[in-house]
Amino acid sequence: MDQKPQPIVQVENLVIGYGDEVILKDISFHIDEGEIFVILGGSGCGKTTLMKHMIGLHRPLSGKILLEGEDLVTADDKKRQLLLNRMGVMYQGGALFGSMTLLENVRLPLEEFTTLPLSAMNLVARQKLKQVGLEPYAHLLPSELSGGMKKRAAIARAMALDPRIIFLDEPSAGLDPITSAELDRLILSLARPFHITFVMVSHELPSIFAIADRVIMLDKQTKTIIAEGSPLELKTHSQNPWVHRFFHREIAASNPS
Amino acid sequence: MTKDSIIVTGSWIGQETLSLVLQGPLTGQTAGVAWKQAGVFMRRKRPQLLIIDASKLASFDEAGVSILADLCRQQRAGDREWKVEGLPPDCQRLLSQYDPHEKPTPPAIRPKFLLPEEIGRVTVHLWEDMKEQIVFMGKLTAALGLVILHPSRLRTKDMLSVMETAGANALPIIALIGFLLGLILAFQAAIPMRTFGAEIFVANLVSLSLLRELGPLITAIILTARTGSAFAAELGTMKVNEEIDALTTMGLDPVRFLVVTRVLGAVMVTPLLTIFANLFGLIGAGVVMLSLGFPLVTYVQQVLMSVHLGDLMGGLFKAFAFGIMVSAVGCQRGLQTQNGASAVGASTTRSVVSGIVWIVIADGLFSVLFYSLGI
Repeated sequence: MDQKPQPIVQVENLVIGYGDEVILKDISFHIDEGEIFVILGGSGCGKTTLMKHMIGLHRPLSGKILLEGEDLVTADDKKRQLLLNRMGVMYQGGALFGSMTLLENVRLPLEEFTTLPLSAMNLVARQKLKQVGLEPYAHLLPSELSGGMKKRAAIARAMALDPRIIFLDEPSAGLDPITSAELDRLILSLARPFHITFVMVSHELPSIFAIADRVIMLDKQTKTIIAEGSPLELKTHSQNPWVHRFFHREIAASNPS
Repeated sequence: MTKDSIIVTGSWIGQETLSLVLQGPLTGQTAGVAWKQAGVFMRRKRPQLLIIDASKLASFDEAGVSILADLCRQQRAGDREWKVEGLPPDCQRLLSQYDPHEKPTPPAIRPKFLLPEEIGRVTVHLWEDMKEQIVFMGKLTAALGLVILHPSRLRTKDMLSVMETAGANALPIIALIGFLLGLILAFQAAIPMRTFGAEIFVANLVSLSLLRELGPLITAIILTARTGSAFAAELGTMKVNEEIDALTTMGLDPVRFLVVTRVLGAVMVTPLLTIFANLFGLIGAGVVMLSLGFPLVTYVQQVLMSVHLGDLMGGLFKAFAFGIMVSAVGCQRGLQTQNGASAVGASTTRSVVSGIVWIVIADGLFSVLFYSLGI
């Protein structure tokens, strides 16, 4: 009998914004363990803001975000650290530390949160770089890498502590189709065998159809979720005109151009 | 007419109709000339009907066509008629993109400057900034305490790197400024002293001024300009590149990870740099004394008689305090950086301004304190 996957992330009645300005409201969804989950939406709809709240960088105005049943905002320091160590984040530009080589970047979480000797840390860091195909470039500084390589290196760093969930902010943005496809394949090769949950912010349709198990779609006008399901379901069955236009790359009828 | 210039000829037909003929290229380069020439014909009076003959246009682009669109819009705004004749089809397509009914966007209304409001705004801003600085100092103290309790958590390699850039690399400029300061001070002091035949006391004046006041002060100001600003720019860039967010989501406290290493590194080198500033200042003054005909041994004896260990230690204590302030404020301004490249520049400026303000305030407080304690 198939076991029902457990939700690793639960978002309940979330309202987020800055000051008095509400960016998203009535946001409720869950993410199952091992899923590749995509937060989708047009430019400026609050996708990245939602992700930044999910990883604990900002406090929501109201509602809850539970990671493995724990709220990052209210958790005590010890529990918060434990939760943070179980997740990895890849930022849009990679956010690699410019003064460190790739190896040092990937080794950093191991230095800070494990008691491994240096030789073992180097071994683990090299293995992570190997998984993303960057082992030969371990000695290079981030400034010496291309955009795609930086993103792969950032994934390697995010995986350093063997997290259960990895958040990716627009992994395909600014990449050519081949590099983007390579990145998709990398995510799939990590998600399935290692059973890592991936949460991605994206609006790259080819990438979404290639890897996403489930997506939610945010809307800038209503400031809430307007669709949820697999990419194919949304493309073929969604009654929402905005979702239909998004998936079929259609422009609005009222658009003068 | 050259092939690159445009000519606009106009003729009034009766009292109410103006006909403008455009001849030559109507492009971004010629549009300004066309606009001025058309304006000459409409200076006295606006026509009820404006006829633009574009059949002699040699070429056009979108910027050039915008002139036609604007003439039509002006006619429309005054409830007057217009007609464009002989327009090439492509030019017509470009012109049709402009809506003649569109009203010009009114200029943004700038809020009126009210002095009490501005004073209030600045006061609130300063108050908020002060609170943030106090909170930051609290976080820094806690992080420093943690590192003292667990020295293994200090990133020694990073700290040594800071000591090299903020200390060893700053030595040439410190030496140069110190030397010139001593030299200038001695020269300036020698002039009035000569009147009284008391040139030998230049050594007393310069050595006391340098050790107690000017050595630490000049070192701190150089540190602000050189190191505090570098800290602000470095941390600001890291903020813009989301590297600070990356640290936070790894569970690493940016204050412990980035600020403690920088503050400790800078604090350790500031007294050393001050010693060098003092030394080179005394050498500078020594050069002046030699040029005034005093033997070196007399100058050295005079310096040793006039200054005490307490003067040196008082100055070094000040330098230590300045080092903490300058490096901490530089890091804080860096961490406060908003989005965008210009925000990094703004943070750097703020770090230098805040650093100098703090140095001046602290120096004033130290002067009162040392006077009260009789140091």
